Amino acid sequence: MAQLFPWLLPQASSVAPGIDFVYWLITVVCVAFFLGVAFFLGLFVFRYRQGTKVNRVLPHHEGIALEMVWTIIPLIIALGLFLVSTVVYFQTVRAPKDATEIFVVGKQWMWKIQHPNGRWEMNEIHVPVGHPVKLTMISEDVIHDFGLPSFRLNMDVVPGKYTQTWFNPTRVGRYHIFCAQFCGTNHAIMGGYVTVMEPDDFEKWMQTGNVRATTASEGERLFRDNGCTGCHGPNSNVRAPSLNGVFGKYRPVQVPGDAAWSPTLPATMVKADYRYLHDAIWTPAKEVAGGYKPIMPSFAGRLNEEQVLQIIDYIKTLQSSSGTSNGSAEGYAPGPGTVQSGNAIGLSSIGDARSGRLYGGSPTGDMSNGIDREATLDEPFSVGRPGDAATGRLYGGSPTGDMANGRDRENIFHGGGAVSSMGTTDRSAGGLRNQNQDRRGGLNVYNSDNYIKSQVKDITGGLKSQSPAGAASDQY
Amino acid sequence: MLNTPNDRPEAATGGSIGPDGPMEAPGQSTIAMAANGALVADPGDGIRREKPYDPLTAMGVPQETYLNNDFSWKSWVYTLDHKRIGMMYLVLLSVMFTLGGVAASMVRYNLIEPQGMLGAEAYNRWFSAHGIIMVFFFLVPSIPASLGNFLVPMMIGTKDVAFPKLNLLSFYLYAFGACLGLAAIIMGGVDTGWTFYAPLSSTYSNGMVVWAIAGVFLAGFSSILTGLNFIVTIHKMRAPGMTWFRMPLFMWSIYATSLIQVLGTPVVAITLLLLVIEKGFGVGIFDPKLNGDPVLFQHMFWFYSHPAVYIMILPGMAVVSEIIACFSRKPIYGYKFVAFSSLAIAVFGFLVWGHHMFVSSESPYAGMVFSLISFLVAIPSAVKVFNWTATLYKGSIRLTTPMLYALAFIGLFTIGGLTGLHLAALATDVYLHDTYFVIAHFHYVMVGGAISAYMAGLHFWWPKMTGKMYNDAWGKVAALILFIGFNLTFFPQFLLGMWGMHRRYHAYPPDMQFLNIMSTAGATVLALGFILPGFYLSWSLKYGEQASDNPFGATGLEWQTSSPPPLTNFDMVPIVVTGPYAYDAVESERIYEKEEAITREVRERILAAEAERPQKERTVV
Repeated sequence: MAQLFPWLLPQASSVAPGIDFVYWLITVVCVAFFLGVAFFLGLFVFRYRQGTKVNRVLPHHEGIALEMVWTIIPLIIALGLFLVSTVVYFQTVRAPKDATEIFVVGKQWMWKIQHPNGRWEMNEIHVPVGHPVKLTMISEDVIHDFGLPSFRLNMDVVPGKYTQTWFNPTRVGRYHIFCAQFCGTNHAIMGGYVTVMEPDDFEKWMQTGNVRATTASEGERLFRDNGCTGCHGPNSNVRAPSLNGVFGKYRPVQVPGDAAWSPTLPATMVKADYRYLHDAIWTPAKEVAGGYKPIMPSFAGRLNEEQVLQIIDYIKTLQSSSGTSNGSAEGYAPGPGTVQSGNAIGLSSIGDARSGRLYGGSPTGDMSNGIDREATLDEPFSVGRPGDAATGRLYGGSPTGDMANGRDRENIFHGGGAVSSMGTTDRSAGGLRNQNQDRRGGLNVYNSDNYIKSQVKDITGGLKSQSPAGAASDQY
Repeated sequence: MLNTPNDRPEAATGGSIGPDGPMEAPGQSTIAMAANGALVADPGDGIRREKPYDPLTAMGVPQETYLNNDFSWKSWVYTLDHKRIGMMYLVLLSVMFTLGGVAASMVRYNLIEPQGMLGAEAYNRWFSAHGIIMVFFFLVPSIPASLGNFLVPMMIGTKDVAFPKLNLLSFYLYAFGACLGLAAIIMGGVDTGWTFYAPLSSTYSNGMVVWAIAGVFLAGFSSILTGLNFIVTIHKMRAPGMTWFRMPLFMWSIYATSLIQVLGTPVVAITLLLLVIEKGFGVGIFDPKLNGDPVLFQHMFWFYSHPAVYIMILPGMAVVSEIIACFSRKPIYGYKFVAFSSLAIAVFGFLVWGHHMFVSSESPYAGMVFSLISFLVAIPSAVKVFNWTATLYKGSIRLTTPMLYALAFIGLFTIGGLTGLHLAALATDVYLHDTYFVIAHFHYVMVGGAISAYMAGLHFWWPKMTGKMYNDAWGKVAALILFIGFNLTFFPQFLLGMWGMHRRYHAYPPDMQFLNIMSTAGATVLALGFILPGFYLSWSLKYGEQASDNPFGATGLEWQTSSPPPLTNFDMVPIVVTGPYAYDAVESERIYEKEEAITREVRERILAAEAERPQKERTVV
């Protein structure tokens, strides 16, 4: 379809052809219906206008048969369209099992993205082509919506609640992210790009930049620094539930509701998923783990959403038998893990290994992961300087995502900022030619951004071949 | 004039247009059809009576009407007359429509350039003002409060609504609410959009949200009271012989609208009140930082606001049914199907709110159910369109201004309704959610549908309401301009939506500039199309020729009284003996031919006389 009609959006994800099929199916039905109605309207108005000599004798003004025909036929068509659409939707709504999980935190007015290996990005997501990516998203303030028209994707990003969506990019290129849900003043420029790369390029990209710590190991640090180990740690005297292997399991909780908590409250089973763990950190009194007193303090305001995500990711790694809790009534099994690791909660190596395995194609095993990274960091600019233009700050040695955020925000507000400067084909292909395109200044995030044309296949060519911009474009 | 339900003769069995109805019978009964709403003194002898002899009329004293019986300002401010209240609504609605249109112009002006001409802050306030004014202060009250207030008692043959004081209260609630809404906009504006999504509106917005919400809250109560009034009026005050199936289809749609208003509006009122409580007192209801749930707000908001769409479009369908029947000189095809489809839309309309939330972390299975019901709601709308089209078959069609608007309504509403299928389907809604496709879709329904119908109704009943005729040629020109301007404005937005231009963007990728400029150009034409009727309708008030009682030859009780109607609507209690659409295309065609023949004859004689004149010159004056 995209080849036939170059002005249509490219179909850049695995679900796009299916959704476009539904779209055009419905459109064809609509056009047929509209032309039918318009034809008869026009015919009747012309033929039976006042003064024409035609037979106007009509014995009936109501016909059950005709009414049934034009009730039931549209009904069948509508149900058919519903079925097709729903089948396609349910084929595409669930993320594949092997999808890589990327965290997205939306806030006014930027997207913060964290890769599983701990790499942060602002308003940019780099992904390898052909590998499904699952986005776990939360907002820090108002409702946003992660919109990716080229992937036929929209998903709300809601504060206080994780939402998930996924995509499997099928074409190399750069695709525009939009915020679809009105989120305040700079809603229109809350955007960014998904850069789909060849797996090899992606591997190179992934091993450069500010890889500081994995999400999980960062979560471990937070877990320790915020005193979580004091109760949930292995040597604690406080009676608190074990977090060992809790993720994804059903656990009994007591829901006080409006009433005061009492030990006799009935327990309900709740799955310890992202939602539950998030709420357990922010509003622990809402659902109290069964058999424990509601003594956990709320961490709302002390941790931001990214940190909560990191802690949950850390809790997810506690699937092995290493004990993290003490004094717990159930689930406490002082297994060999405690002995083995010596450092009961120091599972960062596992976290690293996890990240190394992600994206499938990595040849590096668990142990070699760290070494690879070392090697890359030794010669950080050898992979292609132009990549720097696209992902600017990532080389730049800013060790924390937060500081970079501040800078990006500045840039967004002063125009020619993070989004626009990262957006151009020309810059990522080696030139800084369009630097002065921001003629109007101000919030002209789209100024240097040739929207449709920028989604060209060889945008990552800069990484490989330093090909000029002209050669890279015009595949449509 | 008292019209208690008990003194009504038992209604004849059978519907209005059943096979035993007089309209089927040939011969003299054909003439008798015109007697719908014949006065008591005129029991169906087939000839539309002149008014009873009135010495004052004979002496040239103008007949007393609801407009000229009192000219003091108090007589307007304290009036309990439904017609005057309807006229006051009409004036205030016109003001609100103008203001909302100005805001729309600013929105389109901003989008000329990809960077935006106004900047984010100003743009957000303009589009919010446009949405709030147009939805809450224009579209929801538009047809029911102005035309409905004027016509509901007249169409069922009574002298006023059931609760005249409540009616006046509802007008003042609306007026006060509109003032609050305008105050919010003047004092700094609202930057949340008309949807007021929490927690943006409750915690993060720096606009005058509370004022705007207070205005919407009051306007909502106005809407509830109007709906309540109409329901009671329709149930209890119908004229003798006016059975349910002898009511014009206008009444059925207004009845369905009123049901939605009474059942749905309290929900949005409570929702907005909760929002104010959260904003003002920090009670956590919607903001997750206060342990609230932002998705709850969307559920409660759309539980009203989707049916509210039907509050806007059902009265439009009401108007179009009347006009199509009148100007094709035929009874509406499938009266009962059209009537019940209105009720079906009202019922289904309450069950589809979740289709606004397919991507709001709603469960896919809930989404599936909402999608299914959303597809089903298309069926009654389709049935209406088919019936209107079938009504034109073998009619005697006059393309007057109201008819042009009505035909435009059918075409544009069909496009708007069909593109709703894209948004009811789960797979495509995930793609098109919150893009300009949605904007185009609902403007086709709201502007192409509801406002076209509003204009149609205004032109149709203008002679009855004001007693003056407007210039039909100007009306046709304006209708044509509106049609062109509308399509030029909103059709490109379908393409913009497919390209991924999202709603409420003050800046957009430059590749989309061409379509946006097209849209803005169309909006300019559209504005011209709305300014024109403002001029020629106002002009007609002073200089227009006096309208006859029934200039369009319509049936329906409101046409059986004088134009403008007397204070009590009817000189005598009308007794209804036939159905609402006693039109006959064959008969009207015969009359038309006769009139044409006479006209031709007269013209020929005049020409002949002219030709003879030189010969007889100066002999006779």
